[in-house]
Amino acid sequence: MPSQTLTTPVQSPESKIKEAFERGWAVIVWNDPVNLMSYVVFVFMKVLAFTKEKATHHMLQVHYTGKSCVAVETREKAELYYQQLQAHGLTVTLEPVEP
Amino acid sequence: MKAARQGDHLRLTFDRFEARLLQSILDALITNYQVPPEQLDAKAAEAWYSRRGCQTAGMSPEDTRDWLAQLHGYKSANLALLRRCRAQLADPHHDPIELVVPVDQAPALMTALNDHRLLLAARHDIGEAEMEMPLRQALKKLSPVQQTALVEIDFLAWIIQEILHLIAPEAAYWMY
Repeated sequence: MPSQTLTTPVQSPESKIKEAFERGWAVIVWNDPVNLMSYVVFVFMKVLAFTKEKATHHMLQVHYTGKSCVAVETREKAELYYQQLQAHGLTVTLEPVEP
Repeated sequence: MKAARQGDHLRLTFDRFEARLLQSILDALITNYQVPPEQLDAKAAEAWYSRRGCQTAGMSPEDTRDWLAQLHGYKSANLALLRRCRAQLADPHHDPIELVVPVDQAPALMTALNDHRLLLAARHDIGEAEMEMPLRQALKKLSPVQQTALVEIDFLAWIIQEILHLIAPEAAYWMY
């Protein structure tokens, strides 16, 4: 195999930040044994403005499969949801969505 | 415990034992809400100030610190409400003891009470198996400290359910 020297493109901090903010971010809620199912439905309705049906669907997904992606948003909005859901006691992660 | 809604307020009525239990829970919450995240014990910090999401989001250590400080700020903002509730429960002139909470502050009280449930479960290693254990089995298998924690967790679940019925019946009756 011929060896070649490849130059790795250097990404500026600005472009890294731009990329982080422009790509989609998934807000994932994880199952836990303590939060009440009704409380989780309430939090989804309050924080994410879900209808009762949508909130119930995601709560049951969390309960039965261990997690649910409740939103895919820009970094800024995803962070807002993350913070509000965590402040309500839910276990949440933010994960980049592959383009 | 009984709960009723009267206009813009919720009226929660407790007997002496329930009121005393809730007082001790509020005392613990008031104390723990004042502790900065980095000074909480590891289990409590994981329950209230988990860094897992900050890690998956690729936040820097500095951003993570700011994030946790903001979360702590949310909790501290409820201290005045918790102190008012604590003062009402201590009033010796009422029997049964009443706790009157404005409806717009009920979600904050509920979240605080839920925080205490999370903290107890984390500190006393109460997971799914313990949460679903029948009473007789729990009395046989769990330590006295865990049994006490389970009683508090269940008591607070009762209060949260009652509040939800009054302020968010759609969520309380999600299965219907």
